Amino acid sequence: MNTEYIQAGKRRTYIFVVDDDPIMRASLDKYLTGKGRRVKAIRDGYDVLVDLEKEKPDLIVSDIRMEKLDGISLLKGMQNRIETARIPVIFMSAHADDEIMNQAKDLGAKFFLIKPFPLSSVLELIEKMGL
Amino acid sequence: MNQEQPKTFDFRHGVEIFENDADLLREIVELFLKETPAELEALESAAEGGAIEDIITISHRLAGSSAMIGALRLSGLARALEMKAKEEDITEAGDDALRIKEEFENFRGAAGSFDWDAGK
Repeated sequence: MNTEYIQAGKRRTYIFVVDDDPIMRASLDKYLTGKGRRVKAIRDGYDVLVDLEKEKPDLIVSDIRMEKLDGISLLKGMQNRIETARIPVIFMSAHADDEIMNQAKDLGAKFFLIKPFPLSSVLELIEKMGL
Repeated sequence: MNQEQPKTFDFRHGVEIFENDADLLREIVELFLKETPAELEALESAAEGGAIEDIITISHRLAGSSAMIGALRLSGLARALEMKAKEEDITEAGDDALRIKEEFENFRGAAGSFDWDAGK
């Protein structure tokens, strides 16, 4: 077991934060780390799929519209593999992205945050998931 | 209709996003000031070259990040450009990109002169 992230006898929730916007990545990384979570900030959906070969987070918080590989393709890629299909995903999006959000819903995505959102709302969702 | 203009720097909006942590907001604003000039250059090039997909991607990203930190006027300008590009209307994209660049400088000035200690 990796003891690096054992704190006070409790394993810290491990979260991938995915966004091609460095401001959003840094904001969520710093905020959630400050709230006791372990965070890996990743730029693109493609890099997430590569990382998922090596490690599994408890949760992914991802932008839905990204340059190289977007949230829809990321979700499809995860659902195609039994070991990643059950990892919960919170999608972040803008009002203007209704079409792509509906695609994500059709694929079974349940959690959405509309930008800009108070960072506390991410934490509320995470806590509701018991993570 | 009497609609209030969004502010160049709406500290209250920004700090509420960051759960009233003014230090964290300030840190992210500094990152924004460092990262954004390259985005603006890329946006200008995309506008000059008529690269619609690039205009949409960059203006979308810029609209999102600026809204996070309370750069609301900048966010509005970027969102408007994104919407126009999605409609394939990029005839004024070069001018729009310039206006966005000017507003970024306004934001830089507003954030630079803001009394962060008083804002806490």
